[in-house]
Amino acid sequence: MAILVKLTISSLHISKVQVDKEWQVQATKKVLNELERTPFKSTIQKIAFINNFVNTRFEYDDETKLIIKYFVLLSCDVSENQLKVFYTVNRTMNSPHIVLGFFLKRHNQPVILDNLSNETYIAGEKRDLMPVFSFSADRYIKNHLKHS
Amino acid sequence: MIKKLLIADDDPEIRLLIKKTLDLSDYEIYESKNGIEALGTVFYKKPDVILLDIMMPGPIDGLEVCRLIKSSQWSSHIRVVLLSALSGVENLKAAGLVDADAYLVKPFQIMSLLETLKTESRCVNP
Repeated sequence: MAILVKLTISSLHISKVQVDKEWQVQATKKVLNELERTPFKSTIQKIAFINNFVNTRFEYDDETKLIIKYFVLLSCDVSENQLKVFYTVNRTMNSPHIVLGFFLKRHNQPVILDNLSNETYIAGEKRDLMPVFSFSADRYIKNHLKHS
Repeated sequence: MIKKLLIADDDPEIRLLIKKTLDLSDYEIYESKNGIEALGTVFYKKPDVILLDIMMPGPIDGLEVCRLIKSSQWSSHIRVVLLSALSGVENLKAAGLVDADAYLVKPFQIMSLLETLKTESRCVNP
C-alpha cells in the first residue's frame, strides 16, 4: 500500500487513489508548503488560493480533491464544524457534483470550494449549483476513510 | 416499467433476502450498507423507492437519511420505506417526523414486503 501511495503522489496522474494517512500527510504538506510562501490579506483570499491550488495541481477525482482541501483547512486551524459537504447538481451540465463548504465564523452562508471552478464564491452567489444534500464534512470523510 | 430500488441495510443477509424475494425483471437494484453510502447512491442513481434500515452503523442513521431525502426538493418525491426491528410508538412517531412513506417491522413477512413495494411503486411518477 505504501508503495502504491508513493507512486501515485509522484506521478499525480491517477484519477482515483486510495486515501491513507501517509498519502493525506504528503498531499496536505504540499499545499501547506505553498501556503507558507504566499502572503494573504484575508481568510477568503487564503481559501481561494487553496481551492485554486488543489484544482490545478492535483489531477484527482472530485472526492479526492475535496478530501485534500478538507485536511489542508484542518491544518490551517479551521474547526471540523466549519466544514460541510454539499451534494449539488451542476445546472449547466445537469450532473451530480460534490463540493466543500467552509463557514466563516459569524457568517450564515458558506464559501464554496468547487473542484470545477477556480473562482471562490459564497453559496448564494453560486448560481451554477443547485444544493441537494448537505452534512458535516467530518461524517463524510470518516466514512470515506473507513471504507477506502 | 422497471423501477430503481435502493436497499440500504448494514446486514448483507437482509439485502440478499430482499433481492431473492423480488422479481428482478421489475427492479433495477442498488445496495448500500450505511447512511452516507445510501445518500451517495440516492444522489448518483436517483432511485424510485428506498428500503431503508433505521439502525445502520456510522455517522448518519436511516432516520437522518430519510430526513435529508425528504427535505430536499430534488429528492422529496422518492418513496422511502423504513425498516426496523423496533415497533414501538416512539419509532413510528420518529418515522412520521421524517416523512417516511411506509414502515416495515423486522422480521417482516415476504407478502408484506411485496405489498408495500407494490403500493410504493405505484406512487412513483412515470
